[in-house]
Amino acid sequence: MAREYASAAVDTASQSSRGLRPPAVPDSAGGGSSIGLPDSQAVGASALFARLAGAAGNRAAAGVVQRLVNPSERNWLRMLLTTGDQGVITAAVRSGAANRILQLAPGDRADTVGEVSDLIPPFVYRLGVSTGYGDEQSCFLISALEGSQGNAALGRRLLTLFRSANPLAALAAISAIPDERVRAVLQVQPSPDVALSAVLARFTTMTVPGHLAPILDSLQILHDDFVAPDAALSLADSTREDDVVKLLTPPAIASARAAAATSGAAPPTFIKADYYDHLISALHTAVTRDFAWASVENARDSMDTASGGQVEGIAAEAKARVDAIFGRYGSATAPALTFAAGNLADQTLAAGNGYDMARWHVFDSGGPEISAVNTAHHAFDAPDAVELRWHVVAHYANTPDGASPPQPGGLDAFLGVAADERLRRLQLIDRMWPGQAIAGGGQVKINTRVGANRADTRQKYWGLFKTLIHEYLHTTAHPDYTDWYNTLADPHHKITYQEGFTDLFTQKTWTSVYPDEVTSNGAFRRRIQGDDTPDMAAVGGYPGHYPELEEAQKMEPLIGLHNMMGAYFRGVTDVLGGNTLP
Amino acid sequence: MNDAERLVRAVDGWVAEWSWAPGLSPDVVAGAFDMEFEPGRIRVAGHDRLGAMLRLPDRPQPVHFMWDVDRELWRVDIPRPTLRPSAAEALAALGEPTSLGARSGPHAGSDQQVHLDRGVTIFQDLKRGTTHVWLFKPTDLDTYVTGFAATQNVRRTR
Repeated sequence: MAREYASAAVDTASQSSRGLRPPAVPDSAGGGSSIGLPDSQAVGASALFARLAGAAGNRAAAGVVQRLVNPSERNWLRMLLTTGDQGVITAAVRSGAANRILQLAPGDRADTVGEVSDLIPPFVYRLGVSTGYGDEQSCFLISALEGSQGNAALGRRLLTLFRSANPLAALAAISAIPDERVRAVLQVQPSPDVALSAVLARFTTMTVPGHLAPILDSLQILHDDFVAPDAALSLADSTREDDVVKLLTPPAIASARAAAATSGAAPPTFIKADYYDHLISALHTAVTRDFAWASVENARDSMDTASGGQVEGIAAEAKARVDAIFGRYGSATAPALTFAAGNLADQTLAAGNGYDMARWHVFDSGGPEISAVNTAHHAFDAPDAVELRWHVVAHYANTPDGASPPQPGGLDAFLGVAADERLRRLQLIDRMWPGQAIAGGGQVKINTRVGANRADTRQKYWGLFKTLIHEYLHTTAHPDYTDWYNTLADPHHKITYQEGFTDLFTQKTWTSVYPDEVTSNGAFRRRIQGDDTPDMAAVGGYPGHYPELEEAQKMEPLIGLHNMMGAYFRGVTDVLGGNTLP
Repeated sequence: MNDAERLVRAVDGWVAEWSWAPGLSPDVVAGAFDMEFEPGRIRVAGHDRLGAMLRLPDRPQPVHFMWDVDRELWRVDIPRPTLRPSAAEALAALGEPTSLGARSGPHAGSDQQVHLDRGVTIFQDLKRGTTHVWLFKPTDLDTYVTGFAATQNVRRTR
């Protein structure tokens, strides 16, 4: 349900399409007068909002909203909203109750709720106008309301606010919306750089409240990005290099080395004894766990993988959402993923690659069991450890790789699973893996199995959407960037740049749609899950990620998002640091 | 045998007969396999190509045809091929390969045996036989490794 709200600063004439008209909103100080309600009645209205705030999901919220049918409560609420009890309105909007009302699906909304929806926006703008947008809380309220719209409506709304009588309203509206969402909704507008340039020029003659100054700065950065993406890049210096090396040394290793240095002892070195046994046991634990879910997946039916079908639609949506943020940095030129062109493939139909599945677990996954073994053995960046990892991969997958020795006798008994069966399990896990990108094949391969029931299948579709955001991002990485991180020897370092960066951009893409676009845009929900049922449990939260996302997130303030994007999408690797990593 | 017929034979497993030739455009390939398709834009190792995934009769999995943007054939990826007249004879006819090993590449676990002068790569599972074949225009090793992302491993969603 896309909504556009009028504000005092923009258009007071179109504030409501319903019978109950909101009051005229002042364009200067004066908002927030109380009508002097008895305390008991004011508490009643506040409690009503509190119940709304506590409601989880549309159905629960709708149930609470039914109480508004009670004439006395509805009237108190209407009076409060109409005449402006600032404390109650503030409490209501800050608690999220107003957002929940606005996000109700049309079928869930009672007329009374509609009245409330129409009445709240003028009042939060009244709060802003009354303080010249100098009050941080009132700007938060404005931003919470504006942010509850779908992305398309929000983008148009921001352009309107840019052109409005008082563009401070635009800064207020943006103040609590994540940067990546602002970037996404503006970038897809026609000539966003021109619109930003115009509004930035207006601010040169205005006094901007201090708390909105960072918002103005972010708009300037956005404008500069749109005009010249490379302009903000800065080459790495020795400080950045040192910071990156320090960041990418695991804390346990760093502390062990520091302790050794303090005591005057030699730094800890790789403990080779039992490393093979411990590592292959850890791999077996991880594979056994994965085999359990892969077996369940394998018994399920397939999604619609026809050309132009639902899966391709989800892939197209993933591309559109990634490009909305990173398109001008270079992602937009990457092709759409389609089965016919061959850059999208149904992995469940493949034979499955058991060796690579084992390799991924040992080298790339960062899984807890294997990480624990590597930490305990001080295996980080040790060449001897890397070689033994390859032996584990070849032996566990029952696949000679030409460089590892033959499988040791007794391994089958040690693991309790015969070699052929281990390979079969790995192949099945590979076939059921949610998503993989094959650079040399130019392909994204996905699991296309549906769920156990309709709700479960909705969840699978949202999972596929998140997977395709991640995998599509891989296809947009500049070859100079992938060549650069592929020279790194230690898996933790390599995975930070390969997967940590990709996960960071995946999270930013998800932030641009979740939750407001998901809840507000029924057509979007239909494209992903096949119907527009608001089912936030199926949507789930943020996408799963590699442990190395944490390093990427720490790098963002350290080396700057511009530099990270410049390296990833444009191949400018001199900005990264990390050139002295092993 | 003309170039298109040679391509059909190579896809059918007669890989030692393969030799790249100009003019194997999507239209020519469509005619050779008696199929109708229009390739779509794809990106391989960061470079824009055209691609079409074709399900051919008697093939267990579809074959991926790729062209340069100027519509010259760039590479053909053939999964699970049956080498003819036999695997041993086909490999012998191809001669001594350059091996990139089995630990890296898009089909890790299979030794990547590259015949740069023939434009053929055999991905050979050292225990179970051929798993994959690439047909391409003869090239040098550096161009092969970088242009095909030949040593980059599969990347997986976690």
